Amino acid sequence: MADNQSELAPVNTQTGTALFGHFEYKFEEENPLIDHENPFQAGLDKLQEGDIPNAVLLFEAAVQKNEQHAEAWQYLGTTQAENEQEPAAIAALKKCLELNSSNLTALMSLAVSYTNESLAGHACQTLKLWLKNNPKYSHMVPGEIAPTLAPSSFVSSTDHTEVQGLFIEAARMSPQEIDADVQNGLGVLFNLSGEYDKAVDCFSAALQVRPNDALLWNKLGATLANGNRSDEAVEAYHHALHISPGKQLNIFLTALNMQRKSHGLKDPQLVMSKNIWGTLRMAVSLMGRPDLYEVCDRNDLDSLNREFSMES
Amino acid sequence: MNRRKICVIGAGVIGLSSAVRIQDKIPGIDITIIADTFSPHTTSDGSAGFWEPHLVNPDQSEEIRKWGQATFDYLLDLVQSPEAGKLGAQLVSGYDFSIEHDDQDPFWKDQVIAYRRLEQKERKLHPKNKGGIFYTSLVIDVKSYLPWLMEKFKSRGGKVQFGTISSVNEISDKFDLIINCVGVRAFQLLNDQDVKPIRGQIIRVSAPWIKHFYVDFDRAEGTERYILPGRDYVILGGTGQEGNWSTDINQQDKDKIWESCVNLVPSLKNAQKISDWVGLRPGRTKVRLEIEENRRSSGCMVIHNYGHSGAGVTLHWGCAGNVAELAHAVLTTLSSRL
Repeated sequence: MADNQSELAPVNTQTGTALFGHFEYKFEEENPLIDHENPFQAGLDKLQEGDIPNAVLLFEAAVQKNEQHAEAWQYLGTTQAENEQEPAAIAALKKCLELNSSNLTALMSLAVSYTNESLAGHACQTLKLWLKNNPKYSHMVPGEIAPTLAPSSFVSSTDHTEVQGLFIEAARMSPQEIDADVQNGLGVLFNLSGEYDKAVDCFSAALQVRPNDALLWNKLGATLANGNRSDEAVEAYHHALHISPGKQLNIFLTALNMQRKSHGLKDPQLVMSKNIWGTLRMAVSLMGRPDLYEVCDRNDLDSLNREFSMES
Repeated sequence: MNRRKICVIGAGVIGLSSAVRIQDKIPGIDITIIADTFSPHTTSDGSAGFWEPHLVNPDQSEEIRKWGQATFDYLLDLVQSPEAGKLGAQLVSGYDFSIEHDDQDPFWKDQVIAYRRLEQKERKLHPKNKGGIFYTSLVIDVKSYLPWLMEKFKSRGGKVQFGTISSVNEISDKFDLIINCVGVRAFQLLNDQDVKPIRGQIIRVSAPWIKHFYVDFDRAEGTERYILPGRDYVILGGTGQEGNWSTDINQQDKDKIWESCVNLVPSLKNAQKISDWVGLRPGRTKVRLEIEENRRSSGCMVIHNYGHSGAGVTLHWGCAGNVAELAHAVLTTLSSRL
């Protein structure tokens, strides 16, 4: 059931979900790593290894130790996003932005999470803030941007068109030199409007500059999948896997375990799971473990958990 | 701008609240209500707007409690808001003589306010000196509430279309997600044989001196009567005829309602009759609130929210919240995560 926050009074405030409100970060109640000496550094190490669950716990410990640690909040947010925990990612990234409103990584990541949560208006607003806070482009967005969406405002196509226009302009500023972040933002905007072919071009352009960015390859894969170009999508996901097969496998295993734990909505998850199992099969292949094909084919999560010592 | 499109079929209290709560959950969503009956002509409009889980299945009590509680809390907030007068939202206390013994206590006993057994001196309020319960609940003027919800929906960019849908497939290529809130007409739309009308006839009277509600179901005799005061009128009822599709005023029913209500509260004899009304409550073994399973591959998903029997107003806000959660979950799985 919906959150118990003021269901109404005054009745129209609830729509105006503030950019810096609404999502509250919920910490793991029993965090075994809470007393770690240097949780932030350890979290970065775990992240590097692809151990997402422990990275999350360590970043949580880091911000619980020091609530003002903006960078730890940023990593907590981006790691939760990799973990497919969108509401947690949004909450952490907003916390980071409260401490440092011009953190560009947090702003871009937040825009992506909003997009994944179908919060198109919030995504557009956040991308505009990204431009505003980027020294290269801040001149394009004169005046203040309210950090909240006006109550009762609905996302008109003009909001989206405006932000998209700004990003296109930003991309044209330096045609010789691709700004991967601008292309990334534009790719997100084209996803929001369902113009997947254009979004594919943007992510591809970004990948020319950052060919080893697994997250970008994932975005390209997702966009191709959204545009029903599944063969190419598999190829793009494949690239992401090549860059860090172990890490991707961990991410997918975690996602599956989370799904199994969560309850209620069984079905849409199953759809998602089917894709994940295909990708997992690819991952074990890339890791040189064809012996695990069969385990993947019968969707045997317990065996994979044992194999890669994940807790279920 | 949002590439995803949602359609809500039905503009009664269930359809409108579902649409508004989806807007709460997914601001900016492209959402359209399609219906051929709008306020003041929906089944909800005839309802007394009284909070009480009427004609629901105790086997579903866990969900009913949850939806009912969310709605009760919300209505109580409305009572406390400056809009209460406009919406006819108010607390109302009164008597239920049907629940004579402790072992008949309903599952919602703790959800209303100050639920208690009748004292000896109150028993004479009933012509047969029956025992019963007294409690405080909530009432809303549905004819005022529905236009208010509609206004809210439109002010946030919600679209409204007039049209009769005879099959979900008619519109499935235009939307990504359909929210089915058609009430008793699910029988025709989906051929859901579990849906049956529970015909309710009432008389609206003007009797401003009636400040309490009176409910009296005699299960042995199969009769029911209720007197429910709202902001402008008092509703006298009623009937609970299962399987009766007639929406015509039945004179016999009318006489019986009048007689039995006057018999319980004699001062009603001098009440001025305002209007008669018949509505078909969407009876069903259980409220159906779920994602339809066998449409997964069709490209357009369906979430059902119908079959609330005599408790549409009582459950609407909680059910709508549940629908909004499901709608959000469906939408986020329609696209691959970036």
